[in-house]
Amino acid sequence: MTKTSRLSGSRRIGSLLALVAVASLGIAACGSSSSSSSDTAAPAVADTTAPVADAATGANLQAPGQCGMGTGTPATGEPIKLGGLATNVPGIDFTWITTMTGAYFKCVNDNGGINGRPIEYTAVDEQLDPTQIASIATKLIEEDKVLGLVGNTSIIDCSVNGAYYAEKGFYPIIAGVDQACFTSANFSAVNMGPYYSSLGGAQAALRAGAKGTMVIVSPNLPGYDLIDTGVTDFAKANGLKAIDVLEDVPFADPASLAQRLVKQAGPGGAVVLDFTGPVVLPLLQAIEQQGLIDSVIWASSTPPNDPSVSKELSAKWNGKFLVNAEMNVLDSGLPDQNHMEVIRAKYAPDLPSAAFTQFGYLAGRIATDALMSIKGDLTQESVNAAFKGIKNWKTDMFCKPWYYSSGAAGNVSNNSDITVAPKDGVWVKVEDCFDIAALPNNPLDAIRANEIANGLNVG
Amino acid sequence: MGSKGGALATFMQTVSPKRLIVLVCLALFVLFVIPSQLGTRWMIIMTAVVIYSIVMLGLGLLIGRAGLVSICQFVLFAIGAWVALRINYLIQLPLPLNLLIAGIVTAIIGVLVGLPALRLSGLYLALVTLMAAGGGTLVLTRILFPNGGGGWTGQSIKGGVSSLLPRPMFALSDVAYYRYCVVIAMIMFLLATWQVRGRAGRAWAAIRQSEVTALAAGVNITFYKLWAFAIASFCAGIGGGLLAASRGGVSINQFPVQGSVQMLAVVLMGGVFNVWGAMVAAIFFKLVPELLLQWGLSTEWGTILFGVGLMQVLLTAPGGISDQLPKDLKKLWGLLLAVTIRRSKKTETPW
Amino acid sequence: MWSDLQPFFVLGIALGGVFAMSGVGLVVLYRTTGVLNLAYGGVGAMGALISWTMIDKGISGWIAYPGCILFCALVSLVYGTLFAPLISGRDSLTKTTATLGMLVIAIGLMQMIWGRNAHSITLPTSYWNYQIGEVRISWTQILGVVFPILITYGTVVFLKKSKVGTAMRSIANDREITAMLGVPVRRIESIAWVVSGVLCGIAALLLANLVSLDIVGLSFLVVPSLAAALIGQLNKIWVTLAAGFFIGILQSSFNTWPSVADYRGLTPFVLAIGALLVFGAGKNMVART
Repeated sequence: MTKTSRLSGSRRIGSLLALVAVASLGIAACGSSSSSSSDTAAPAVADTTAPVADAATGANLQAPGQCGMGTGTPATGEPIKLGGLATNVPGIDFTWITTMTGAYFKCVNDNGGINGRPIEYTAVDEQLDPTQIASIATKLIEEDKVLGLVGNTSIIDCSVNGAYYAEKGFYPIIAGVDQACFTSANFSAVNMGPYYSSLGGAQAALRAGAKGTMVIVSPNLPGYDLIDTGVTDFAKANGLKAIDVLEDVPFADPASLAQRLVKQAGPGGAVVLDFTGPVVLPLLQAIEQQGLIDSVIWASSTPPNDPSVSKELSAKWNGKFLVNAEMNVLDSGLPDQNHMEVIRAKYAPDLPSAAFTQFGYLAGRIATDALMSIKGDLTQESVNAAFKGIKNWKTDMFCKPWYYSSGAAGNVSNNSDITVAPKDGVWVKVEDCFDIAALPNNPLDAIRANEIANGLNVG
Repeated sequence: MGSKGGALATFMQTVSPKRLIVLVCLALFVLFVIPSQLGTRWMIIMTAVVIYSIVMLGLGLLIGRAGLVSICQFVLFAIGAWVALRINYLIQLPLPLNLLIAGIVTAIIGVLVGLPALRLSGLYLALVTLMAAGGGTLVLTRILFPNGGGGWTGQSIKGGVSSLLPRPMFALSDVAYYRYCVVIAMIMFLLATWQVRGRAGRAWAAIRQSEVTALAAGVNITFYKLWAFAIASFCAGIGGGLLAASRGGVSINQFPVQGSVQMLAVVLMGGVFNVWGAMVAAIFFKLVPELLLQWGLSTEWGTILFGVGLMQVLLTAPGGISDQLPKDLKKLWGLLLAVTIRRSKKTETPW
Repeated sequence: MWSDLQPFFVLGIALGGVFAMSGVGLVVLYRTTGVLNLAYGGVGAMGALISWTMIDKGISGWIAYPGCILFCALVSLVYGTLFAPLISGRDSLTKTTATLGMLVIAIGLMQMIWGRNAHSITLPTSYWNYQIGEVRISWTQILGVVFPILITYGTVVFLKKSKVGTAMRSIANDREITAMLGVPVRRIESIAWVVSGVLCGIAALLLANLVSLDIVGLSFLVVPSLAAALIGQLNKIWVTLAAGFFIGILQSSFNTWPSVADYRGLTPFVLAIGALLVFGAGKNMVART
């Protein structure tokens, strides 16, 4: 027994050595081949003499209803590499945003690209594994050598990779979720994130007459205990009792959850929901089925602002679900909104027309304007400087123009928005643009002061 | 027979000079050649492979040597990370000491899980561990990983979404930490081999052969079964501590319940009859998804591969790849030489 | 106190009914084939998702819902006749671990084809409601209670009175002797697989409606079903039924107290471990080797 095992033992080692050698050679080959193919981009060495982007005017360079140069001819030059990543786990699917951003860039490429160069956008899914997301970031920046990051929407990206992006001089244009995305100068989001959006929902609920107790319920995922403090601080500041509920998603028993929330809010109370559209729909249906629509005031952060949700809600819900919409209504008929529909229908028809789609559209459009404004070589340095320097960027989807850098402790450039409610299967505006509440624990006061002082969002 | 020197001498005698040279070459290759060829991203991945191989090592030992199937190794891995982090926020210890404590605490927990299961047969033991895995994951998603707060759970709202253990001064860079993990992995592999070749290994082999005979021969079955659980959980604990210090830290969502089942699948695929199977299993678990990403394929193909591999292993190759591949290569060699080589067929499962 | 508990208690009954029905399916299969099918929920989830796709494409529910049941029965049959015989001579741990492989494949396929998001299925029975105290019961929930009881009764009668049922009991007792007596063992086992598949399809549809159509959640429906089956010692069908209801009611009742509600998911795990420890040792559990 020992003899044969010793013989086969060394053979085992030999075969294993072969396996490991082949595997690592394979990896090295893959690694080196991808880096050699991306050497076409200019090296990202800091060159202070090179003409850096002058995006200080922040003017929208693209005409309304047009992508990029709007030439109608496909771009064929050297690709401009951009990257993005999104969380995709059961109960949380943020890939709609990166898919829409990719669709926007496809439209740009079909219309002359950026000075004739097409954009090559790589979007990666992540599953909330910090090691995985760290390796994705290094893949995009060091292996694929992307010049900028656009459309990142992740629960952990800002926390895990924030320091790395800062070290590499990256200023991603993102759709933020984690509070770390809004307390760092290295990120600027087209949305306001669940903290501010659920706070906006709470404000609407208060205006609708909430009394007694306010309940905020959000996914039991990392960071949401901090995210929910917006609503709890607001409730306490307004004399209400605050309860924070963290629930596993997708819901194991929506009918019981509905009953529980109503009991905790008590008569006249408010419940603010903070879930994505597909996840919250069973809960809304259970609330209706259990006859609990009128028991409390129901409000929510943005994600349910999605036709696939409203069309499942019966007329009993009319005006009874106050959803904070971080962007304008999806049927505004205004130029950018229509443009988004055109691009979505052509390049990403499987995506619903929803709030997340708006995020992806805006991230793509802002990035394109920034790229078009660069008057020199496109390098990691010049692209990120262009991103960072954006201000007074206008769109009919926002209440106020957008800018990247607030100069205060974090960027929350989209800090005023509207409230929508369902009506006969569609979302209608019920409250026009209002400011999200500044609280002692959030920097909105300082940010708004800077906006006025530095003219960041005029016009 | 009982002296440490005697055991060590016996152990050294079983290592032939040829094998020693091969092992040293492999060690040098892993320590120096791999880092020189790979960029940051692949170093992060290879570090994860090394860490997971320690965890798989423990599970392979438990299944292959002691014949006990456990589906909760993944959760014990998470618990190891949890313990290491909680200790770190209380007192700053050097990492090796922190790892040791995490390993021992996890070993105790593993023994507690294994304890009531001693009276149960293979299937019911596996089910108990599966339930423990599900329940443990649920509790962890509520108490989360410590991130600087106080109290039992060490939770602080401002602590951030992932928890990071600080690395030792000399292992701060990605490559340095990788080498650190490799060294610890080598120690763990030696430890495992030492156990397998020692008294514990003989006791396990006797138990697997026939419990009644082993009992008659005076083997303390209870002790050695629990010892197997302890070692497997110790490996998981050490791995957990190392993972907590790896790039990005740890977050509870990287330990979903399906992971426990997938870990069982890859360990069986890698092979439980020798320690190299752990490396193959870790390569499957961590490298395959990354390669799929590199080639633009959906990572679900990896999941499907694990499921198919598990069924195939149970059906035809209970020894897994590390057992089957040498046999296949040997057969190939034999065919090339046009000489029929007799191959011993193992048709019974490890348990 | 009762008024606080009542809605959750009532909602838990239907949930428990689904657990009970799945548990009975597991027991019947285990008794006949020695396989504890841990892929039970996974196959059911895939059937429910196929129904969802059919409805999404506009196919009527009358075809889509039976489609789910048909799919589950088919997959179970294929596994039972093609793969299971290859390892039928092995111990139950091996056979059960092989079903874990099938579970992993099912989850991978589903996540690849349908993505990781939750979907929504509303059976027509959910639109008809009755008020009981504070809570409303839909016909789906009533089905969730009535079906399992009827099916359990039917199963017990079937096992006792019918020829196939008697053959199943005989195989459970001693496979070799039964085969020697000329009973077509393989065919009977196939029937057991199909029956368990049908039950799994029905359970998945009911659960997808009562809870949500979520891949991992439905796949791990097998845990409370398993807990019920274990409490029934993998043998006693009426006990399994009662245990299923008990688990559902208990888990749902924990919603009454917010601090405990967070951990209510532990209920089936703890009960399963308890059942294993109490019944698993020695000869209490009918161990199939």
